[in-house]
Amino acid sequence: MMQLAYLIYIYAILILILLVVARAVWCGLLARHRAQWIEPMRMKYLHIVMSAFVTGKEEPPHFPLLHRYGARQVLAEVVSRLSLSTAGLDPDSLRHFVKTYRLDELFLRRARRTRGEERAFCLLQLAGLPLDVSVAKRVASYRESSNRSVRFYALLVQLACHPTAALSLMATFREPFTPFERSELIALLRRGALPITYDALLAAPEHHLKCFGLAIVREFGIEEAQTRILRLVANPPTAEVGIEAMYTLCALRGSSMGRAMKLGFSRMTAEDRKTLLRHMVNEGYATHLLERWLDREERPYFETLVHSYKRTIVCS
Amino acid sequence: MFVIEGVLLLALCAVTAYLIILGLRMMRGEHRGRLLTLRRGVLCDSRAGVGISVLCVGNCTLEQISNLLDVEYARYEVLVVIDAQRWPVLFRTLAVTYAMIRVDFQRSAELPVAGVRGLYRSRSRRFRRLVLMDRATTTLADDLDAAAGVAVYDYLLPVENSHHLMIGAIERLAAEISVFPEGQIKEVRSRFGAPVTAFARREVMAAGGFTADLQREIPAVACHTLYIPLLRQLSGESVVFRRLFTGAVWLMGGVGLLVLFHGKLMVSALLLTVVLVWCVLALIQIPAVDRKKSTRNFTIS
Repeated sequence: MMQLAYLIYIYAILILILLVVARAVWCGLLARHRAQWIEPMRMKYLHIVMSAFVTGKEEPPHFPLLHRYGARQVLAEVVSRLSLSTAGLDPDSLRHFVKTYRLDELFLRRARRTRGEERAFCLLQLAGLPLDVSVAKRVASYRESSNRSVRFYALLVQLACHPTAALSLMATFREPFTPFERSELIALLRRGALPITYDALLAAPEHHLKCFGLAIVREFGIEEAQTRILRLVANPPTAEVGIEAMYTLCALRGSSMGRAMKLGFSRMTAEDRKTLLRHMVNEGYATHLLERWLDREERPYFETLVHSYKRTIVCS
Repeated sequence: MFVIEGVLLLALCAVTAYLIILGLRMMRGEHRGRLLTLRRGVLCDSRAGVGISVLCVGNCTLEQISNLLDVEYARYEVLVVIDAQRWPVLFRTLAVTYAMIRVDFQRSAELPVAGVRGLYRSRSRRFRRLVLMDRATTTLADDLDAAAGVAVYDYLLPVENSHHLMIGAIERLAAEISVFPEGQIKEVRSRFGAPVTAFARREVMAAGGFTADLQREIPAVACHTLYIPLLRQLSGESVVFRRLFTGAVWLMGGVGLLVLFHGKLMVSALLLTVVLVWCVLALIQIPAVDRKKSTRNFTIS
């Protein structure tokens, strides 16, 4: 009996060793294939796509070796990555590429076949393409996925399909956005692919949209929003929104925010206050600005931090 | 004998099960890595990313510090703790290379550590993220506490013993922390390459510094494990030794198969499990070896 158990174990181990070795060999071959075939093709396709944009011709350009296995995938990745990293590309020309070579279908099929982070990766690449409204319905089921990345990138795909309904779509994403997700949405704004204004977000009843609105103000330094943010600091709907509003005020470096800042500081916990003070020191705030807003116990902490950035010069 | 054989088989099965789980997690980490690597620039551009302070203590080298400064991520700083009396040449070289000037230092109320002789920051804007601390060395934990007292950002990454950062390690670490809601992750560890753990600053302060109990005090739900190497070690690795070791392991596999045919199942199972462990570990270490080759000739720009 024991002998049989050992035999089964040994054969299982042998299979596992074979699998590990096979994977290592497969990874090596893949890396070689990537270096010898995929990377040169990617460069070539990128060059052709860029040339098509520059010349602005109506007919689609010719892509060599497109019939080969994996070539359409390379083209899809090139178009998607170019779109994700460039601002102001003509969406009609991009749509032309997508329709002619059915690139959206490629990503949708891969998303159906894969799971977890791999599916999220496919959805991210799909979100980079200009898409038809029908695609939004096809990814709707991914919004219920147990994987947060899949849920978020499905939202990005829907935003790419319906940019005008951005506010209502983002409101359906019930959880607060993580810093990474916020960065993704801000990157969309930078590319001009998300037609949404900060005031609509600040006025939204959902707290996570308010926080995102504050992140936009912070990122782009929108000074006109200062009055609204002061109001949010004075009457924050939640503690989280209050803290975000305080960080936003600091980023704006406004001069007439004394009373609101004092109120905001008093509402924060001691730990949150220290974190904010460290942030302010890093942003270059001077000691005399904060003297009025901090109580006597916390002033030395801030002064110590500020002084560690300065050198005392004694003039005789 | 029957009991010994049974216990050994159970132990081997446990090791194999652990390796399978490790392999699956590694594969999942690879997919996540691909996603985060593609969107690395997005996080670097944004002001919303988490801040990371690297605390460099122990036997620092000029090459190591230049490697630590070679990071694109914006919300990042490097705090180097050196004993200027013990390493005067290195200290002077650092001060000249990075145009360091002495700034005012007052002992931190959060982590009061004695022995700090001075704090230095760079006059050059491009090295603004470098902070140099001159401190009489007592213990590594005290050096780390002294650096943590000056650190500004919310996550602390202690780097010791001339370890170098892998390319994109900080960006990946920041991205991994950023995919969770703010404040949820208090400890991020990577056991591959050179083992390293990043801590939330608040937790370090709450524990009274880098004490032995620090890791025990952080609940498991607030810990996140990365199945990729973040740091690598340059010294002490010989290609000849590695090849000899590889050969020895494969020889062990051959012996394992040979004794299998002679009916010695227990010895065979043991030897083959060792080969499997080595295979999985080798697969994990591959990126660390590759990166080492590509960044050896790094120069300060």
